[in-house]
Amino acid sequence: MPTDEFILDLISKLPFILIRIFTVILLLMHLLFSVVIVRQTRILSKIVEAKFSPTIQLISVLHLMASLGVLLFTIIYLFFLNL
Amino acid sequence: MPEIFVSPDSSHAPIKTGNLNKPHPLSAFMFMPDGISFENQEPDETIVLLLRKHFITNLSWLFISFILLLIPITFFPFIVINNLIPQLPLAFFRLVTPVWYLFTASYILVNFLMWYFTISIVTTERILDIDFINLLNKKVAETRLTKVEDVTQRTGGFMEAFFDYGNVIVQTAGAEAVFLFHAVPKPQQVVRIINQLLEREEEQ
Repeated sequence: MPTDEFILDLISKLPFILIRIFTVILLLMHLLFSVVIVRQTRILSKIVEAKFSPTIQLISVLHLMASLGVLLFTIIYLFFLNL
Repeated sequence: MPEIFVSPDSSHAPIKTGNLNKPHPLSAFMFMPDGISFENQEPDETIVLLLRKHFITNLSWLFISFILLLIPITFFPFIVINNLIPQLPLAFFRLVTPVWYLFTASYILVNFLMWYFTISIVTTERILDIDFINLLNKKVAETRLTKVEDVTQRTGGFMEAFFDYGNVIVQTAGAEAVFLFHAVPKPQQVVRIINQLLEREEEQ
């Protein structure tokens, strides 16, 4: 029956679907975490101002951009390249 | 050099400043550092000491980071070549590698930030202790030098003795009873400088 085939097909693909969803959720949480790092770095750089503070802030922003980049890469890789 | 740093007791050796005014930005022991200020710093207030944990205390997370960085170039190819997890397609590892490196970078960044922003500041007027407990929790405590009652140092263990670092405990009469400068370099020198500042405060 077509319904049985559909269910069997779904069961066989379910682990990979779950892995995809879990990975994207994990990376979304990481993105949020990166935003918190940028925010905290700004606050703490104001508490103690040093010449090195802009570098630290730049590193935290680069980390945020990397987090966004990996999230976009993962979404494209998992959902659009159909691997 | 401000007069306060010349100890009235001749048995105390004078503090060698050398190039300490322009320390490395990642230095754990800064004496009279240039180009550093803090929130609510008073115009006539000078930072005498800026302390972090000794850099050697970062060794454990640096070692773990090194292992984490090596895994994608050693362990992942090992899994693929030996086909240890046949269910996983090769494409999966192409995805896991950047994700792995991203999380490793986060681990390194968070540990570095926690070390960098956990600082103790001794000024001519007060003592500040900024503890970056975790990413979301930080504690900023301060006390006036007039409220400081006792300053002690505590060192113990091979690493502390070898690299000359330890805890400095400042007991106060304020709301924050104890200020702990954790694993700071040159604890004897820190205690001596704080005591000299206290003597100056008493004289005033």
